[in-house]
Amino acid sequence: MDPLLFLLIVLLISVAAGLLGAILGLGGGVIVVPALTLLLHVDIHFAIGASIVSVIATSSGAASAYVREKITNIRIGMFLEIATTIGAVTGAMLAVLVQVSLLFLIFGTVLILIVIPMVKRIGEEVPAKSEGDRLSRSLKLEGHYYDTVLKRDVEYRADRTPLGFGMMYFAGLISALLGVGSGPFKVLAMDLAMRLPMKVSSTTSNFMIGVTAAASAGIYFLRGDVNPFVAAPVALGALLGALVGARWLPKVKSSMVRKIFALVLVGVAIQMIVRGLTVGI
Amino acid sequence: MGEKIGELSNSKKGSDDSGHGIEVVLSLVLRWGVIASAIVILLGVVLMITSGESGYGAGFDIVKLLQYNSEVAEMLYPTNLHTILSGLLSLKPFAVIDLGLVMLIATPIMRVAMAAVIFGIERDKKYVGIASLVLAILLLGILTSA
Repeated sequence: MDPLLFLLIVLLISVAAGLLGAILGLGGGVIVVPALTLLLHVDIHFAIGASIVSVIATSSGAASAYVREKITNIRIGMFLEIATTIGAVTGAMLAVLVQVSLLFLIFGTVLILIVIPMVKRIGEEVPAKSEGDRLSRSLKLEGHYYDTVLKRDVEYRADRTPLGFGMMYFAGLISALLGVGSGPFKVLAMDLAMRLPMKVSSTTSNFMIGVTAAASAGIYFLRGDVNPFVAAPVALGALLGALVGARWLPKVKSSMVRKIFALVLVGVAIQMIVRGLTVGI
Repeated sequence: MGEKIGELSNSKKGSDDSGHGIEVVLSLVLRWGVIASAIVILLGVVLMITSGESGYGAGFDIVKLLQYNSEVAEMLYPTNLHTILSGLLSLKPFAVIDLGLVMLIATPIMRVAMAAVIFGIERDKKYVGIASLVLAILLLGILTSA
């Protein structure tokens, strides 16, 4: 294949990844990794190295818009980053010790099971403001944003914070152990455990995933998994996609975001199970 | 940026919405981080396309460029700060791209550091502690991997 054509195809794929990632609070690895490996036959190591870059580009690109529009909750994001970065660092240390294929199978299955409670609330637009728990009240894990679709201010407070914090630890751990994005688990922790509005969950996840990825990016870089020939078009494409996606999200209904998220989650779960069955046999 | 922080401490007095300025500052850090790294990466890509050369062993041969072999990786592109810097001196296209990628990776870390500073200006002790803790864990992760 012509090198220029390769760069162009990777760029276009990454625009799509950045777009979807920015709306759902994911890094776009769910598109980048299978597209690079299956379509373009790029080595899985380079694909994962590129997906880390895609996560950081999508996160920083979209967050610059969401933070300014005050959909992202900075306090909730910063507090939960303690859990995900500790998870990412311990995951990177444990990576040499555990059998990865089994973990792919376990967490792929867990994800499928998690989709079920999500589907039960599929039509929900925004949850009622909760009473919160002791931790969320003392740390002021609450806020409000103006929902352009509902044309009103939506108030919320985090509920079951310790559970959400624990899930965030696992999000960081799994992401560093398996080289998969932590976005799906982060959105789930905020949506299912902490009962935050969908758009707050996806934009706050978006805000956090760049930091989680940065915690393990150095390892991939030093290992030689970040190939500039692949990572450059991914970074530029994902940034472009994220900037466009960030302009769309406010106009999309929360229930629609939830529907697309549930669908993508099934895709992520299938990918994980397939990798569990094919890796390291 | 100094102006923005000034704005923030003024607005704090006037409104009960204590998180007003932090959004503006963090958004600026993220925006300029991605713009600066995108410009550098783009520069590297243009350099690579116009010269038809990666600056390293593989030239512009797509098969060699996409061959994964961690043992010879450092001959095909830079894999650490030292080789990026030495490659930059001779303006090798891949070294320029990698500088942009490192700047991109540094952007979220800068964002955490800046959040710690702003919570400090707002005298929000709990969140200064939280942001500093996140920063410390991040740096620990980077140091242990290096």
